[in-house]
Amino acid sequence: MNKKIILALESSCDETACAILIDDELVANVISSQIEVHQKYGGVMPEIASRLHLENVLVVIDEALKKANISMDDVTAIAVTRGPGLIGALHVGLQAAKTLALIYNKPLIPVHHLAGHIYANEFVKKLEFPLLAVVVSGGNTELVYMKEHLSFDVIGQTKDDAIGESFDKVARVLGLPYPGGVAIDKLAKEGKHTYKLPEPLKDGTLDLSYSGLKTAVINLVHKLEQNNEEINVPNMAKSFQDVAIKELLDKVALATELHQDVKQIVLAGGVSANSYLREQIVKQYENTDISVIIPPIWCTTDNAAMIAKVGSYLYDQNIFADLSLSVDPNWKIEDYKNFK
Amino acid sequence: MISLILDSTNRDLNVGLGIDDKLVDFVSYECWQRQSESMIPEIEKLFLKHQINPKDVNEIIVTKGPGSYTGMRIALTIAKIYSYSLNIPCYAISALAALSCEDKTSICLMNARSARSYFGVYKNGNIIISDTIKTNDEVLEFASKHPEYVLCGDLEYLDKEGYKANVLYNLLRFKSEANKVDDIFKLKAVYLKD
Repeated sequence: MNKKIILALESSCDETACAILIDDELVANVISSQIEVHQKYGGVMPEIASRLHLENVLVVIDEALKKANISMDDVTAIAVTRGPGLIGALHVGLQAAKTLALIYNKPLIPVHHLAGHIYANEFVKKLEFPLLAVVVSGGNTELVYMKEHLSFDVIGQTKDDAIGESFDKVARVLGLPYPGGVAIDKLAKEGKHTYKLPEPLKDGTLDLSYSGLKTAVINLVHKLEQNNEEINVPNMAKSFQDVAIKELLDKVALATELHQDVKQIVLAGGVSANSYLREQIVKQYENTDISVIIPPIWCTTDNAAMIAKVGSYLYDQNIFADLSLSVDPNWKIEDYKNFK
Repeated sequence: MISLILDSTNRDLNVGLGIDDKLVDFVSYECWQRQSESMIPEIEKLFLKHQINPKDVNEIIVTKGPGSYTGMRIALTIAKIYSYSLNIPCYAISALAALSCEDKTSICLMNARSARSYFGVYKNGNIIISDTIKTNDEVLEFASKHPEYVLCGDLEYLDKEGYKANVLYNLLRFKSEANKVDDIFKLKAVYLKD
């Protein structure tokens, strides 16, 4: 039987990436990160990200093909991130994928970026259903219930800011470097929860909110500065992180209460690298029937391996796009089969 | 010899097919912000119509800017992947040069927004004044001082009638060793703005 070879491209934010999966074995996973460039600006600059994708797209494809020791003719199908993400950034990966599909006459598979983050966990362990995916990143905060493979039901989401966005903004007001989540995680380990911040509302729904907490920290910092009081940055980081993670964990607890059939919880997205979240969610489900999968750190940042993984499942279901495919920066995960 | 010619720097989508240095077919229509969907299907349609296998292409000719940032990256991404995949030459040519009028000294212009223009002066593909950005007032003053030059491009934004060139015909005839890309990995767009 012929091997199934998926070549995947990802360019939704600040990493240009290409990966190759041969019969579910990851043989190449190349990432060209732009983080150092964006660090200077304290956040991702969309136009600069798009420019760098154009400069790096061939580099990652070429390196991936060489690592896998295959040629494009050997590839079975091409998977690409169609959204969500930065529109100009998505365009580069999509055009590259479409051009390869045209030249080599290969099926084109549009992949939802967050589905990718969820499926990154399959590089650790097979997914078991029904599962609850906790999708936490700079752009998204969602609780996704999955009854089976490729079935995504968003049962809770943020009403305002994404959790990662609040980490980045709090980090900025505390004068910490980008990416803020990493800096807060590190400093919080040295700090104590001494600052009083508003506790999350218990409204009985699975929706979350981070803008109030973020504003409370910013106002508190400004007030302390006005009164010439010294801010203990590690303590502020710890106080903020405790509340932010508790809000998430409370909603996860409520979700597993409301959906008692959940067998597995998976973390997905950039904030899933947060060490306190990892530790606490494992603790919350110790001695229960629910297993928790923690993705390896390399899967918490953007990569194309996870896009290839979803692409492989979509290939089995014959979910292909024609060459008029375009990007959708606001693509909803429930609509992953709808790309017209 | 088959040439694939691409331009998506401005409002139009331009795809051309050259055979032995003659433009044998092309599509050109207004396609603002839909070039991402349409460019590859238009290429495919031209290939089907002329019974060309996508792998038969021998060279790529593309506009490298200036122009719409997102727009020009569409054609440039396709050009990079094409040239790399088939190991064929790529020629990257100024999008302003492509607007010029044959045998005439041409002031080539494109709307750069904020009351500014992308500006370059060309004659038969040769640079008279290199591509730059000028305020629209500076452009109009330059034009009034050089009435013998032809104003080229879609100049509705300046309330003027500009000469409308066949961009694809121009690109094919301006292809030269001088604008051949040495290293396709390093091909970048020309933005003229940081």
